[in-house]
Amino acid sequence: MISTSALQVRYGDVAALHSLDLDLPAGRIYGLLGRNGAGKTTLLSTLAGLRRPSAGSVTVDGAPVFENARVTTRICLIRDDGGLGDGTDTLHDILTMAAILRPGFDTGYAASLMDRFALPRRRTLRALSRGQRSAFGIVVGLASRADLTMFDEAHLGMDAANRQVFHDELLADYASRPRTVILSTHLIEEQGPLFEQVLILHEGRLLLRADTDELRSQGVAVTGPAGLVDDFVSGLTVLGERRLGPTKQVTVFGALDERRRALARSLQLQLGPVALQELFIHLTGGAA
Amino acid sequence: MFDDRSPIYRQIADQIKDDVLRGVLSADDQVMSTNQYAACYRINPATAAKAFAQLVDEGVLYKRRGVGMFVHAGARERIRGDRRERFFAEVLEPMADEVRALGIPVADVVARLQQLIPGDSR
Amino acid sequence: MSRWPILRFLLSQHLVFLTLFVAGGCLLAAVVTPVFLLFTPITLSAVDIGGQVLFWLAVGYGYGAAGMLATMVAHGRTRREFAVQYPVFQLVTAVVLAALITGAYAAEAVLYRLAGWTRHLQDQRVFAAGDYPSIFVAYLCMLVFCLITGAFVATAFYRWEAGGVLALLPAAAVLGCGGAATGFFSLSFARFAVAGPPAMAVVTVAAVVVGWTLLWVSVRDVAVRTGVSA
Repeated sequence: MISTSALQVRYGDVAALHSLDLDLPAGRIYGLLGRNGAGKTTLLSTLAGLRRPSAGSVTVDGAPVFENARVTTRICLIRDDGGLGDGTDTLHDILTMAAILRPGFDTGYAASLMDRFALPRRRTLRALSRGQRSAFGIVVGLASRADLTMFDEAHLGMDAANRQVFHDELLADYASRPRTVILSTHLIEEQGPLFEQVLILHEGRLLLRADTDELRSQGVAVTGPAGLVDDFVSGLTVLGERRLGPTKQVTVFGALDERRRALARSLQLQLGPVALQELFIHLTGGAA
Repeated sequence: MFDDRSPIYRQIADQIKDDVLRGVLSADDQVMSTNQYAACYRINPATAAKAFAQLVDEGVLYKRRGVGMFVHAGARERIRGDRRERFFAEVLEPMADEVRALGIPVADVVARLQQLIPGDSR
Repeated sequence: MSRWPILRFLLSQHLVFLTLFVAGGCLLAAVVTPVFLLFTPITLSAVDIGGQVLFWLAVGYGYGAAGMLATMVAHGRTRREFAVQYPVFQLVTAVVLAALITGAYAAEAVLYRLAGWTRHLQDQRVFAAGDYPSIFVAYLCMLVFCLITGAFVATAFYRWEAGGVLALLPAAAVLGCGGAATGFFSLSFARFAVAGPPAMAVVTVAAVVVGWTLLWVSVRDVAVRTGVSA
């Protein structure tokens, strides 16, 4: 169980996380969503012990994370900017280093992942392309076999085929060695099916947490003549609306009960599903 | 594979039921494991597990401890019964609305149906 | 879990590299020195001239500490482990390299004697050409305080960014005093009346205390930054 209690992180006067309370049971894959600047990287860095909480606490199975080697060696955060070694280090050297530093590191698995991503072992970190560097981060992240493995936009610059390899390897390794995984991503459509739960962070606060599949059925798009639609949605949580001449489409949040659905049918209003990504955009303030 | 708009577990359950209904899966056939399903369709194993749990509840699948999930002997009949019940509400009634809106004579619809499903003389 | 992972990593990877680097430098000196004979008779110790460079190389290498700290923390180790194991690595490195360079002085003495060349050291050296214990101690002390100074300056800049410039003051003091005591970096206004191993040892211990304290203060709860904010 990963827990934060009244977690606050400030950069000078600016608060990146406001009093966050979170309990994440172990052994699941979580998706961490949020707009740019929502605090995702700050949260993950703090969970990984890269950063000390300004206030509040972060614990794993009850033990504080920061400066606790027993816990931090079981946590691996792969960031989009690498940070796994010096630019002049070869990939081979970095894997050797990871194997010494991380008790759970699986060198054989790392080797097979290097092959799957066709990564050059003798090349230095600096000489890699953006996508290769991301793929290498994923190799280290998966082969670390850390109880808490986090990928912060770690797929950046990877092509669709390599992202698929990543997702396949993640699911396969997760199936054989269940552990807690947190993926921070903007690729909601693509990675959404991997998540058991989604956490939406907005302006440093937890906006929503739900089973991904539940969330998928929470949004309803109501379409019809403007007046009828307005009457129909009054009292519901309206996330956004669009007009096209006399027709109006309103996105509401929350599943509709049978009575409402029957009402919609009798008013001849169309009820349509809302994709996860659209729902996310609406929930976090709409398209700017 | 799955659309992003309705719960994936429900889509999985419907797919398996379709397979049973069409005879792709027969009684006592083993279905893929949760992890195989997850790997094959790139979805979270818990989502697949939820679909299987629902199918067990509905009497479509049964579990053999340590072996896996199998198709219940009565599954096909059960699914057929359920679908028949829903057929009129979910398929025929919207169709009737459409028929009315388009002004198609009911006789034409019946004739076409008989053409599509020959051999049913009742 | 195996113990001292950071130290084991640094010894197995970095120390090997550093030893080969310094040994390569010594061999290069052995090859290049006879070339000078074409222009001028040889009177100066090549190892002694080359050894001078180690002073700044050690400071520069020590400056890699900040990047090393960030990498270690990214791989799940703690700042506390780093603050203990990294200086121990520096000490071991200093011992090995000081021994290597002392050996180079001895080998050079034999070569020069065979070739019939005279062998003078730099003026400000505090040891005589054949005083190997003093040579070893001087190099050891010099490497220790240079490495730790490079390290605390780097971590101070990592932590306080521009504010890290303040760390240059203690760094200048340590390098000035240490340089004078060991004879590797001698400013005319800062010469010690009493030189020799005791002075070197005292200055070095003081430098290590100052250097390690500053290192610890700057790393103890430093945030390991991420490239892209939030």
